[in-house]
Amino acid sequence: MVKWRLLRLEGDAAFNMAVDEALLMSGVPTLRLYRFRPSAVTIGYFQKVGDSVNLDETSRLGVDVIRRVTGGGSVYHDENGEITYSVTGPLELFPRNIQDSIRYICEGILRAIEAFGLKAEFQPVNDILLAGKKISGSAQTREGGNLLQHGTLMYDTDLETLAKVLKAPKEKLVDKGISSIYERVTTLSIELGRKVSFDEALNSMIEGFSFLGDIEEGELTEEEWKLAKQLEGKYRSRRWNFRR
Amino acid sequence: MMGKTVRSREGKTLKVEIESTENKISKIAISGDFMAFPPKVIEELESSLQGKVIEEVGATVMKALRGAQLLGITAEEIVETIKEILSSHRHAH
Repeated sequence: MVKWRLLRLEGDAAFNMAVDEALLMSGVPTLRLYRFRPSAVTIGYFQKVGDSVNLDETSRLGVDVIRRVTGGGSVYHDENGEITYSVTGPLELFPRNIQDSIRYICEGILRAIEAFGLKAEFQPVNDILLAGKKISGSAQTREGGNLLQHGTLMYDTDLETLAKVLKAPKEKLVDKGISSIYERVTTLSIELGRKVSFDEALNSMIEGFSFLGDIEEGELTEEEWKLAKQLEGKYRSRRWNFRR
Repeated sequence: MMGKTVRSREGKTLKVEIESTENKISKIAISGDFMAFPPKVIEELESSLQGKVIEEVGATVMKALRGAQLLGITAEEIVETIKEILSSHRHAH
């Protein structure tokens, strides 16, 4: 059985993305569970920042906007309502087919939601729906024989703020015939009708991802720390975050 | 700058923006919430399309994306979108 390292390491958006990229480079099998402190928006590698984020709102609210090394869409990471996971390791540990590997890793989220007695479903390419609404999104990249997939679980995200800071593409909204954020996004707290705490969400994620193998708490290696510190500068630069 | 945003069959957003001179692409930007493996393939695709005319778009895209994988959008959707922008521009002149 593969040994997985559990990391509970969190900080601001630049730090978080630097750590995930360092993990991608090191390739040590790792499950990382973390928050964005303070709340932040991340955008996909190929997105134009002005098309996907309401920059007037993010600057008014003081919310950082950081480009990820993974593709996919823009995400609002609510410090008090969203938990982020990242799974990294050598490619051999995952299905070779990209879509299959995304689905495989998302099993952890499906099981975490199931721990609350709720049944969610994976929707290709990279979403998880609960009651037909999005509750989780993931994105993946591969580099140097390793894989990084990270994604979200919204347990109590402030959806009003989410709707303000993210720009939903018009094509998507028109296509779905939907106007309100509550019609297309949900949280565990909404679905359960009670406030879900971070600790509950965290424990359900650890339980959910235990399908990967033996998971034991660990730390970053000295080498990974060094890498993460080097990469942090990139994620704090306008050149990287506003490159598209 | 001419541009077009489409929703892919897999539900992702694909945006293409083009600057052209004498029907040749002088600058192109491809963006959206898709995934590409390896990621650098999109930048390589943008460079390889520079100087190309509409008739060369299909072969150029297919060649640039050989060995790469896209998720959420297809190479054909990229080709179609670029061609639509270029042909509407041509007709407008």
